Amino acid sequence: MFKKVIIAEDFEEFNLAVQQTLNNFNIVNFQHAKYCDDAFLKIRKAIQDNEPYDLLISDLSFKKDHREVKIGSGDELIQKVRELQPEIKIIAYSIEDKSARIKSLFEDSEINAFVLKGRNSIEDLKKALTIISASDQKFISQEVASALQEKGNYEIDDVDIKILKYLSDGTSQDEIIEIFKSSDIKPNSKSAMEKRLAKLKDFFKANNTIHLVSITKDMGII
Amino acid sequence: MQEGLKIRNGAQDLYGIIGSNLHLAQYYSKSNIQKSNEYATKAYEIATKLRSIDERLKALSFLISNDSEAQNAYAQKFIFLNDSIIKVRNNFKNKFARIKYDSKKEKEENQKLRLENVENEVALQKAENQKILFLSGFIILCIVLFFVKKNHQNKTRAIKLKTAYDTETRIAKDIHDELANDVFNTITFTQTQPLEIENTKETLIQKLDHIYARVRGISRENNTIDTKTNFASNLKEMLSTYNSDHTNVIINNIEKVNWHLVDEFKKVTIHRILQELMVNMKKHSQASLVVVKFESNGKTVFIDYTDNGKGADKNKIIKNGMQNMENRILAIKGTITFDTKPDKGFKVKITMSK
Repeated sequence: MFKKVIIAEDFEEFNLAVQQTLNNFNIVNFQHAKYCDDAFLKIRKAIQDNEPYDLLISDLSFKKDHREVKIGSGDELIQKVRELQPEIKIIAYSIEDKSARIKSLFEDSEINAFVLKGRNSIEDLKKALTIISASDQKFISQEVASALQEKGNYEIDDVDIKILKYLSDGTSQDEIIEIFKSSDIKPNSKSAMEKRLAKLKDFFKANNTIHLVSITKDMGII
Repeated sequence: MQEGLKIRNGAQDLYGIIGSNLHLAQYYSKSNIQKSNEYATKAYEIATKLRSIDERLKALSFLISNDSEAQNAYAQKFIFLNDSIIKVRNNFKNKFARIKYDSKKEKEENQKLRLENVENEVALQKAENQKILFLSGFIILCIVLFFVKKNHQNKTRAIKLKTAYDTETRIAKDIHDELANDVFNTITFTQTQPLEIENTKETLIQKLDHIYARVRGISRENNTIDTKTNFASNLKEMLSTYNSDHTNVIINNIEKVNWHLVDEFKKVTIHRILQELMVNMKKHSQASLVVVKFESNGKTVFIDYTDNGKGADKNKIIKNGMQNMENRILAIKGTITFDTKPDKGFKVKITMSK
């Protein structure tokens, strides 16, 4: 388990969830920084003193006040700390639930865990600490887990619309494949075509191809 | 006369002497030819000395008319002198005539030049006038344009302010409707229920979590919008958060728009409008399908929103939530049209220049 922890969070009252969790794990050596700049300085000083932190728990958004700061957000702090001390484990702890931001934290700054502040945050923190202290596995709160998966978007492209148009004109699936092949539109294999049709039926909640054409017509796609 | 000659001789007035001699020659030509010749010869000699041709000729003419012996010689001299003097004088006359002619020509030319000058001046004046006219026209145009622009700016600013104000009031209303009630209920709940019981505590936590989710929702709806490289993916993500077990949000060609060419404020507007449409969709429509279609050409972005929900009475809906969207789109000089009927879904067309 972790021996020396630093927490970057701008809450006036020290975050109870974090405190309780750390106490549960008998971690007593932890410091708190209200500003990203302070947290960064402390981490640097610890490295100089040869007593580096082995865990950073950081919020993402910090309130702006009278003090001028160099590092304004948790994202920046995490990025800088990762560069300064590549082996330190990092937990982002935030109410942020935008997939792009979470994804970027995992991919660009290689955070070890993302814990969403919410009902389950104490449980999640415990899980995260257990997992990342023992291995290089990542942890992410269930509510935002979809951020790392490529699902959730229902996107259609020009080829989809072309297929739907041909279908609405009464062209058969095989004929469409032929047309695509002769005009060099890809993909044009039978399996790809079937995959696309299945996807479209799924997207538009259609029971069959006729239903699909009727729905897409109603929705103004063709 | 003799007296006069004597005085002139004394005064050495040579022209006077010639004159006197000639007068005497004329006087004696009728009575004493001998004397007349003497005086004439004398006048001739002095005149020759002075090279006074007219006097010489006069003297010669007396000698010719008086004398008979030397008449021929005098006559020849006279003719010679006369010829040469006429020649000389003619020459002078010619020269003079040419000078006269030249000066006349010059005068004409001057006249002409002056005329041209005047014409030029008139033309210049005209040009000047035109210039002034043009300039003043231009200035007037500028002023008019300035005022039109200012007026327009004022209008746009008014719309922007109105939009901002509407947004503020909407947030206030959201907080009041969605949060204040919930918080009040939760307070009442904690005051009246025994919290030692595990079930009651769980209910309280649920209530608080619900409030927390609402707060996050309001915050998300009014959060800053990334207008840089992640705009399209964030917009896509925002639309996709409205996917649910019941609703599919289908997106088409969002990345085909050259978003980096679109003005930042316009991007924010698009994000907010689509968000408002999605919020309304979730609240009211019960739609199972939503299609958001993006299209763009060189200058314009077209966005089509369509859902298959229960729609609404168009007249009612314009009065409520749609006004804010219209103001937003007006502020970026775009257009927005709503098309809906009860049970016939909801269609929105947005166009705006990049």
